[in-house]
Amino acid sequence: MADYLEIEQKYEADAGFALPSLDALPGVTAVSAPETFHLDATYYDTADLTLIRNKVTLRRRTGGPDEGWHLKLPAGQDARQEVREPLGTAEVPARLRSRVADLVAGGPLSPVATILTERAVRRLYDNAGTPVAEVADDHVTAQRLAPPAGEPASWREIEVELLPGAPDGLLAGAGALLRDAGARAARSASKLARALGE
Amino acid sequence: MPADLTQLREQLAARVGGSGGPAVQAALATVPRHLFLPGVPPADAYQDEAIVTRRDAAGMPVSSSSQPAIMAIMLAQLGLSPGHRVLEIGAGTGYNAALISEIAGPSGRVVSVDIDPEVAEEARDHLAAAGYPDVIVFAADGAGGAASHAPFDRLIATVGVADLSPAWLSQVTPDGRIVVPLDVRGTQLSVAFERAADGHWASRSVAPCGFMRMRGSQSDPTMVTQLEAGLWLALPEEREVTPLPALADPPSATEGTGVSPAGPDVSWGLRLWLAVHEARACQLTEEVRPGRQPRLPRPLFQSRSVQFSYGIVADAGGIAILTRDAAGELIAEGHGEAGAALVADLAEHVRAWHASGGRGTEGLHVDAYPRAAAGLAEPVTDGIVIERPSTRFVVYHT
Repeated sequence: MADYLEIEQKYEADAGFALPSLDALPGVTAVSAPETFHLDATYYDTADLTLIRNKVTLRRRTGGPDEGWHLKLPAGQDARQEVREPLGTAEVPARLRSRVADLVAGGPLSPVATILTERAVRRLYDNAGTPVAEVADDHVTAQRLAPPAGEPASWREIEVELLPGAPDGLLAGAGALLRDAGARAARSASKLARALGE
Repeated sequence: MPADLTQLREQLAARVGGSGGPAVQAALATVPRHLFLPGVPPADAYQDEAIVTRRDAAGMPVSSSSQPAIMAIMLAQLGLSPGHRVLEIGAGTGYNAALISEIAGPSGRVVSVDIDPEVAEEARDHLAAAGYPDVIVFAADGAGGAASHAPFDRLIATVGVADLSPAWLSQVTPDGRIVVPLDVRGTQLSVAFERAADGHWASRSVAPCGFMRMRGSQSDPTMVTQLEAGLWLALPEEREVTPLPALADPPSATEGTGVSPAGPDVSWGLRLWLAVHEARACQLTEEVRPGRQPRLPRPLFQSRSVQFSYGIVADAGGIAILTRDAAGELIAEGHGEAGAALVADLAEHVRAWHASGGRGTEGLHVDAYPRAAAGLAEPVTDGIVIERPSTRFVVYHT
């Protein structure tokens, strides 16, 4: 596996951050208007976060193209397997529960964190008119529910993801412009880790 | 040099140098990369990241220094030894030439050619400042090599190419080696070539490099067609395909593959496998728009706002694409009259790829037959043949 190929980079920024114009980057000829998604995710785990400590995440998310239940499991080095179920109810689907039964030893799974994301996605297009990257500008509000529950936390996060076909140097170029505009490399690897205060 | 930079550099060497072998690792731990990246905070120079090195008058980034991990892999493929005479095509910041010089040592010689005189001059300055004044850098079209300094034991290109320049082949010693990032049917691969007994060039190793690309450089012959607003079909080479059946309609044929691979294995390994085993391979790309019915209702994978599928498209009236069911199994879905035959072929490719261990570049070979070399045997035919102006490439797995 080409595990060293960077295809994504994450930045954090202040609430007043203004996204710079990205349409003059090399290999980019146009940027789409922002498309907004309201993502509402609830993460489920045992009270002592057994799943998360074992690099497993279980969430129910509404909004966005992939709404539903998502169970992510480690699958070898740097790889994750994802199992999905339709949205259904707030009850953990039986099939997903059975996949983690051994880990949680039959213990109850309940909400341990909520993450609300107001996302504006802009796609970057090459001269053939196809999307080569997307920039997600997220306003995040998170709440830890597992003990010790804390106050809600809010932050701003900008992620650049290359799509198959991205020209060389696009990730670095976009990153340079975001830094110029005041964004910083993100400290936390995932929204969930930050929501849990880790 | 500040101790913390030394420490950062050693950490970088430890993290990415392992794939390059001891000599490359030692070079990474020695060459002060921050001196090749003036204007960049010194500590940033030791992240394993591509870094913007040039901006235009408006401040827009126009070029960048590659990720050190990719450099390490390509240098490992190059197989450098002390005393080697090395030609680099594309000088960049001069950092890679310094790594080469560090390994080739005082008895070796490093020549680097860059088409941009300003880039060449800056690389020369960086090399002098970092303690590598003996590296020769000059401005010229890299396709011509560096005849006045030939022959070379090793040649490395740091820019993506679609063909092997005849000048390069003629300037490398009989047992020399060439490493180039080669566009192979929409994917960039770093290929190390050596001369075979009959005079063609055979790959000694193949590694992923750069980014997976379906297009980008002018030399890449990939064809992209917009089927409708927000939906594209990409083919690894130009081909005529008749209008496609609607992908949102129920499929005319379906076949499970029994295989549930992880996402990155699909977007890298399976994609490459299809490209080099299936002449009719294709990729579909669709934008996800709130409120619009997706044309790919069950995509193979998706990013935040774009989704993808790979498949096979017939010349006339049929396509089969890969989808994923809720349990993660890959399912071949066919559309149009030829759908049933296409899903069988597509599912068989997935199973063959999986049976091979889910391979990407492992066991992949690229043979290069220069057109200028007369009397070469016809290449083996059980691989994908790629015709380029100076070279016929044959790509196959063993």
